Amino acid sequence: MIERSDPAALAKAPPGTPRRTGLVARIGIELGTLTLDAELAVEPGRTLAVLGPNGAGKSTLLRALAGLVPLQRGRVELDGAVLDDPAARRFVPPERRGAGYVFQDYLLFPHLTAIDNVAFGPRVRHRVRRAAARAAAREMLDRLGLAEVAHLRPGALSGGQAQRVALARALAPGPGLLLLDEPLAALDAGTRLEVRAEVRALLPTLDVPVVMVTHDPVDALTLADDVAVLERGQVVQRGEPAEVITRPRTSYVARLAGLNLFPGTAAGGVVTLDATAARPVTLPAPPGTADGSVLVALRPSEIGVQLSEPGAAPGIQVLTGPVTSVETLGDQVRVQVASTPATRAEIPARRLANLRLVRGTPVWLTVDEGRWDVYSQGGAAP
Amino acid sequence: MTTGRLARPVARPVARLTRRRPPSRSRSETRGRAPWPLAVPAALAALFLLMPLLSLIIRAPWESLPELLTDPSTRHALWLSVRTATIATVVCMLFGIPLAWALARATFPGRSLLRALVTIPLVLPPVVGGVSLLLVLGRRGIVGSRLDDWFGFTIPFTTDAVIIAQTFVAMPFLVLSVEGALSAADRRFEDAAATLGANRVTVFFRVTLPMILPAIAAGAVLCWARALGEFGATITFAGNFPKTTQTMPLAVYLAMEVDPDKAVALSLVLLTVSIVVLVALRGRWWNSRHTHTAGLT
Repeated sequence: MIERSDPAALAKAPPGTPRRTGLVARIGIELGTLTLDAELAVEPGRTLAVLGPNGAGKSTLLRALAGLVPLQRGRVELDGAVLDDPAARRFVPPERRGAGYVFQDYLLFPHLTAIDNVAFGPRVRHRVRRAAARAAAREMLDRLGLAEVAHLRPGALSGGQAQRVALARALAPGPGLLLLDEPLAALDAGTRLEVRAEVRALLPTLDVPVVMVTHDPVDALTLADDVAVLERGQVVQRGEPAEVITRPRTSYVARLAGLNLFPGTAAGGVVTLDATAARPVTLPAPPGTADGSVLVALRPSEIGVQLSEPGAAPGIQVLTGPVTSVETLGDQVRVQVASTPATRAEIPARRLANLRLVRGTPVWLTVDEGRWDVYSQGGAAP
Repeated sequence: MTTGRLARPVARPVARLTRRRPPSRSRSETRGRAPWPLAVPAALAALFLLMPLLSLIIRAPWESLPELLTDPSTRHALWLSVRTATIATVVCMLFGIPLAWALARATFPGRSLLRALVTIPLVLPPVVGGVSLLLVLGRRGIVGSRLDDWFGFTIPFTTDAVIIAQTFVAMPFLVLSVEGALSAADRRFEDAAATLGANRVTVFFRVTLPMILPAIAAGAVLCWARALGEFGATITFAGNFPKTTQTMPLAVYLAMEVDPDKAVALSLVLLTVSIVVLVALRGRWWNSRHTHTAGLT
């Protein structure tokens, strides 16, 4: 069913070949208390970042795509070939899937040199001779700037080198799918920037679907074409990185994006923030908003902070409550306020000197009507 | 600068004196000094273990040693021992490594019971092992009688019997060492190999086996040493025939009755082998107290 791709398949498909469908997967696995239930679709040449907190099921999702964990429900299909379909009793084992996998801690074989690690795939998968496999491995190492470390054992490699060798090893057999598990997480900050730039340059040159699992929003925003947010085994949001980060659908994404996110209800052109029944906070709904549940995002820097109650003015919403924490972020100060709903504001450091906020200081937060970003709750549209 | 250079020769003897007993060292000595109720039995135990070995060296007939060791019967026994122990070790590896793999990785009913049973030869008196082997492979044995009837093939009291006896007592050493390493190994390396296109057999030979090679080597050395020293099961199951079944330990036992000097000379050879084995395993047993427990349990 899965044809054995030859090493030359790593090059782009010749013109005229029909467009491949890429990866289409619906993954259902019970994992103790976690139910993983996620749908993904990635076209060849595109990168999907699966972003989520620890324990959301990200690694299991990747292992299921590689065939290291069998599905309980659902189906995995790559370019039309079914890799896993428990209902049809079909399961292609990992060694016949041709999925390149870069593990978080690389898992380079400690008994082999860097070049033999990279040559391992071509050798066992295409049954080519040692010399030919080595030649292919050397080419791959050269391409990633690793020619000088080819003869070293993994123990002698730096973190960045090991990461690149792991990438070279995954790419050497010419995979039809590339899976990256927290590819940059084990690197120090400086090396991470460097390797991120290299991976970013490399990914568009691969004509295969790439699925990258990460908990670092910077990876997702800089490396991916699409982002799927996975929480407690479910995809809660998907879209292009810019959209996901500006219009979060869950508090987890809002926190990553540094935004305030409030649930609200739209009715007759007016949005009322939920949980404000005692002193309803209302704002005009943007044109075309359907009645029902909506989400309202608010940038912390667009909130004014006052020590006394401002006079009522049209077009300005006011929230109030005591300060719960004050934290500096460069020349900005983040102020957490136990208003209803709880809100995070950011003010310039010099303003803090005037306000002298400490825990418990009562404050009034003012928001210009136009600053609220109202959007529909809508399910995670594919 | 000049004064410092001048002062140096004067300071040197002082420095040498103080260096002998720096304050930090004397403090650690106080902590490490054993109280006498422990120190006395500890010293006696050490003496008890070392004296017999020392006496072998002290009482060895050094002058007639070359003669005793080149004696044809000695050469036969030594050659037979080395040959049988080596073959037994190879047999142990061929069958023991797969058994260790099954115990560490496969899931089947009664696995933990089997693991316990496999270690029985470690604690079983070797003579009992020899008797049991006779019951299985002897001329009247469960399997042996068939071999005799159908193929006219008898095992007891042959060199094959020596190898079988040695394999029986030595295999657990290899199995335990390899099984420990397999259980401790990170199986995700095998996952990585699978994603690269290696099937289960390739994964075993290209990844699993090379990664536990140190444990296999250590197990094989232990196995060989145990096979070389095998006495009880061998004399019971294989007898004591010069050239065919009389291994070194049997030759020592026999020589003790007729020519004690020769027995001492042969024992010296076996002691030398033991020391060589210990040196071969030094990385595992001398330097680190942790690695050998990881390897053997």
